[in-house]
Amino acid sequence: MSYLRQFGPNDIYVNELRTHPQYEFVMWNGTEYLNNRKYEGVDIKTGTVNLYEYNVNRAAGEARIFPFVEKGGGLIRLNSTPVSSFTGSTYGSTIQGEYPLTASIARQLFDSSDGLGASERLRLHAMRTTFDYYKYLSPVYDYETYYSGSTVNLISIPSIMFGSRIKPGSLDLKIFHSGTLVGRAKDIRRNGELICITGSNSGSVVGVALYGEGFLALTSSDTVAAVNDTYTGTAARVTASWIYFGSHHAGTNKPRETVFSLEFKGTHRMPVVTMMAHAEKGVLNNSSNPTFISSSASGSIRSISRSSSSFSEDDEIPIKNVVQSPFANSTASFEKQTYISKVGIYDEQKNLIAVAKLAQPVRKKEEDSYTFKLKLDL
Amino acid sequence: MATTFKTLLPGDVIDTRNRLHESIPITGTIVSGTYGPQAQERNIKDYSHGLFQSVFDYPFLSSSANHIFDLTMGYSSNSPISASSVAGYKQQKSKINIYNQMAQVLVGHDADGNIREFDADGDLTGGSKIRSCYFINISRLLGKDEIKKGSFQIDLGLEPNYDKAFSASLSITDTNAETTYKTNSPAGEYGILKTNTLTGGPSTGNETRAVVSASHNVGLIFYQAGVVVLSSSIFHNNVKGDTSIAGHGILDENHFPEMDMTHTASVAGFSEPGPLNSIFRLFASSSISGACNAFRHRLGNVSFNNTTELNSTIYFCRANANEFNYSSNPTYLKDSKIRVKADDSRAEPVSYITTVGLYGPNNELLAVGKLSEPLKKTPSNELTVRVRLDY
Repeated sequence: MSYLRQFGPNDIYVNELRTHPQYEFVMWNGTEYLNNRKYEGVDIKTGTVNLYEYNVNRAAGEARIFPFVEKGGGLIRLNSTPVSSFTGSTYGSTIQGEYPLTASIARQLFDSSDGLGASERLRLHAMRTTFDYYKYLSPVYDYETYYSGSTVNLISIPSIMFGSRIKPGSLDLKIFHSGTLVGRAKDIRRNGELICITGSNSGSVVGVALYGEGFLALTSSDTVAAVNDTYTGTAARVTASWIYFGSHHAGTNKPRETVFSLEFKGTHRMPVVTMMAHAEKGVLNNSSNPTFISSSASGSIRSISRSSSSFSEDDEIPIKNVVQSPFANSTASFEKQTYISKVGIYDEQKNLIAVAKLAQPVRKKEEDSYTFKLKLDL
Repeated sequence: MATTFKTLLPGDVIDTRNRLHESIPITGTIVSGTYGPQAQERNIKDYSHGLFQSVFDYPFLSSSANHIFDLTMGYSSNSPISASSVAGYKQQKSKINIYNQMAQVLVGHDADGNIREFDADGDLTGGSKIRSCYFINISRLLGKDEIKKGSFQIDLGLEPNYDKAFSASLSITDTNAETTYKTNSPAGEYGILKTNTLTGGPSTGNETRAVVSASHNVGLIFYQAGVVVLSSSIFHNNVKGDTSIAGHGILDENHFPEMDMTHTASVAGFSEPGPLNSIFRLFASSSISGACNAFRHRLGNVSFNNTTELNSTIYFCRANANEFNYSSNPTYLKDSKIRVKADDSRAEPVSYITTVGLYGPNNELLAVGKLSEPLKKTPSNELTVRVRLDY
């Protein structure tokens, strides 16, 4: 088909599709579960997002897929290789990594007893600018006042899960004790404040969320409920509070009576190009497909006459009449009609760069007018 | 943020290419045996069209499953298998079509426009042709940009007795392909697969351990396409093979009686000598998926290294002694004094470089490189920050 039509200024537009995949982490007894997925093969660790999901069912001792690179002038290094061992290796040597590469949430507790200059708090201090940046949302982001020397329970969420940002209003933190919901906090104001919505502390801010960076900073040491467990990793039982949220890994004395749940939605942005391809009335009623002409005249396609002074083709080749008569044993009157089966997209140099196919060919008569809406995810 | 721009000169920008590899071992039990009895494996996907089967590393209905490779077979219309008048052929047209399709993509057409046949030694002008073969199409997930030359190995069970297939195991490799690979294919570079090491020997027949007499050319591996072509002659011996096919069987007939491939009934009227289920009978009378099942039963370990090409541009951003010693960052000044000079007016200006921004010709910010820790810059030192952009 040689009919080319240029898109007009209103025929192409780019917009953005936003998706919000939902995640639920359940943490108990040293193990995380992601979206209620449990066993998915040997070597698939629960509660993680696996980058490649290689070696899914290879037990210890079996040969495994692993990456490697030869150290060269490009200084390409596997991220899992420590810088020190990379720089210490000779050029040409093989740097070997290992799979799986997984990502999961992590918890780190910064205790107020550490002291401001303690090396344990450096990671938190590095986030000072980020916290302060969000003070326009709420004063509880003020680093100096609320985080600098306080006990902070920092929950880190990898960006492979939430994409560009955590969706405001989607955070839901729950603490269950012996199967009973004893504490719940949500960002109901959508400004990053995590607000307790259960118990005597209902309505108080227990921490903040950094939506774009994927951090939750919980600072409330108030009692969530009159229940206790071994949240500190020792045999001593302490009362449940938000600074112990996610402490399911706490050493040999794990809090086995408590289940922590964290729900959130991510935000993934996908640019989409939408193109409107118009087939207006009176056009696209002809086809260069060989089946378009009558089979009885197919031989005349080649009835080319040529001489030293002329070149001519038969200009009266009958078109096959595919109009169906509603009556038996009769032939319908001829109408020009085509069946559109695909739309090709060409660039400025008329190179075919994309093809959109219809599930079923669309019949087009002379008086018909169609618009095909083509969407292309970028 | 600093607002000082410095133009990168031609000597400051270089393009490089690096190669990242993965070692891919595929144990034979994944291909057959782990996920159910033969022909019922949950990690093998057969299609209604019956032209090939897909092999996964886990039951394919699981989201954790990875596609490893597709398996199919075919033979040339010049093969005696296709010329035979034996009753009971299955999917003959499909098998020939598959061979032709693979051949025209991988070895192309000759000067007359005819599809070339796979050549055992890569010299298309003559020599032995591979006219009946198995095709292993390695998935892009594992093959990546290309299979690393000289790293491919496949082990096949060659014990004639079907139930003890791996009592004799032959390894086939593309040894020395790093330097001897061929380039006369429209699908990229390819190497010759040769018999390498035989382990064990037949438990029937002659008691002496049988040896494959020489390093035979038994297939081709197309590195960029990720396709392995294995000649059916691997499963055939010299005498019983069809001698009209150059490179007919490779096995020592005194030690390897004809191989039992499927344990099923014979095809009536087939004139090929040997046991009931020889490889030629299998190719002729079995469905494609049946022949693939038989192959998987004799397919041991497969291993290779893949390659991913990383193209990079390296920008050498040079900060000379008298450059980038000040900052327009609001925190740089306090009470109209440079904060980091500690009230010493005679001290050198000092800045800390944290970020390198790459700008386009119209001064639009295109990329940002961050340092893991700030670098101190004074008039008495010079820095070159190496910024690598991978794509």
